[in-house]
Amino acid sequence: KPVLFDLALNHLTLPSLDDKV
Amino acid sequence: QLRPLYAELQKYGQTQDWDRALKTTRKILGISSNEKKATQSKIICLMQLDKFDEAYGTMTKNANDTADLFFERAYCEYRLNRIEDAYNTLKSIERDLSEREQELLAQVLFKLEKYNECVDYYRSLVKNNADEYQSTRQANFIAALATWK
Ligand SMILES: [K+]
Repeated sequence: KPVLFDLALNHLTLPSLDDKV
Repeated sequence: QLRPLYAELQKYGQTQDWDRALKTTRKILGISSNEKKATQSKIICLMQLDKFDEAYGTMTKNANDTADLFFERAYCEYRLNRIEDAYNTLKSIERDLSEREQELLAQVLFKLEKYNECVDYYRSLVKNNADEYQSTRQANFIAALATWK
């Protein structure tokens, strides 16, 4: 069985910090 | 006191300097332990550094501050090979799934050999996206179709 490319990982980003800076 | 540290964290996030970003989250949490944004950021830094066990443990220890991190929780479970848990986490979301949640669910469904549903998600993801990963997504779609048949 093939392994899929992990595209989900590309969407891992910090939360918006605009309200904290 | 925290503002400059958050500015530093934001900068390291933009440059994807996850080691330094993690250290900054620890500085913030050392000053004030119940900073939700710092806790969430720490988890994401740990995940970027492939420390999925520690990221998952941090979520468990900070259940209130991380209750809305469905994608991150499910992604940790996926990488920790707790595929059924990842599936249940994504299925527990009581709203339409975001694009990234759908992308992860498609990968989870593939691992669970639920090819019918997996192919449906890829068909819709391929149709509704035009980002830089579209050709890779297409390859996943084709692989899922080929494995199903
Ligand atoms: K996979």
